[in-house]
Amino acid sequence: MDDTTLVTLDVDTCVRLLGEHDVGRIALSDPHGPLVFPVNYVWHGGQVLFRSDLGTKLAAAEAAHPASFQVDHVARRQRVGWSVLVRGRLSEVVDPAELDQLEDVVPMPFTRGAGKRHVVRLSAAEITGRRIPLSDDVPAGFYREVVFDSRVLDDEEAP
Amino acid sequence: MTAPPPSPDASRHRHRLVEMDAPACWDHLREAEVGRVVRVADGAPTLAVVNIAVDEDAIVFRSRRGSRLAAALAHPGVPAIVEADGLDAQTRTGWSVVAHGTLVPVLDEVQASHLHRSHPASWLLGDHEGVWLRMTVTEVTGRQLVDPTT
Repeated sequence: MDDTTLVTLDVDTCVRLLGEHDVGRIALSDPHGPLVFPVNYVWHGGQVLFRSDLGTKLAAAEAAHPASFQVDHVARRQRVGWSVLVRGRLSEVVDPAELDQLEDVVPMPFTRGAGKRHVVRLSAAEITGRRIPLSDDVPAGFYREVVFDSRVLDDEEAP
Repeated sequence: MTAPPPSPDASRHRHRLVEMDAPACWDHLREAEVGRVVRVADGAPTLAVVNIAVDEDAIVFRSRRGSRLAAALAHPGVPAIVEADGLDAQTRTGWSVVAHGTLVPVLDEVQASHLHRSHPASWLLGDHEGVWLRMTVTEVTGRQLVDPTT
């Protein structure tokens, strides 16, 4: 899946897909190159929110570094899938009232890191998404039922 | 004696993060089929989903000529990461592998046709389409989330 022959997803679709999933990847850059971390996230109020420890992720948040967040879903047998990319800047949520409000919203990390009490947000500056076009041997409705659960492909899957 | 099953709430936080050794990481990379290439472009990190394959000490993948990823070829030796994972939010188990290296284009036609022969087709590109990129892996790390109750 590279970036030239894929079908572009509209922003509404990207946003809905962001809301339907909960595991994605945060990518950052430091002087040595790129870094990437899987995160358990929630899409809330136009932001990707996740919990972090005091490591690289939070250092980047404090400096409001550019970051990207990516979520995808692939079906290996049918060889199709989609991917959504959110670009923006990371910052830590520090306002006590906001933190209180987000306490039950932001999922706990998969591992109970003692220090993962910090809530970090990626404010979306740009949201893009793409998917692999369906091939003839993928049954009609497949994307809708298995991959997308959506109306996105009605044009392609209409009888 | 079998221990009673823990309450859902208790098991929720009891998963252990276990570091995987390099051979286990490579096994996952070989089976993954799909990975995410991460690199820095214009000061910002970006990710692209690709079909990956392992070739000796490198991860190889194809990109269509003219794609942004292929444009990275203008600067061979760009630091990059390939990430693959299989994380299940429901069971809160799975694995993730991160491989570091630098990207170089496979310009040699003999090498490129070797890669075309030995690796499964891309989901997107036709048999001889695209350009091969090779990331020689300098470091690989991986973690597995284990549910000790199963």
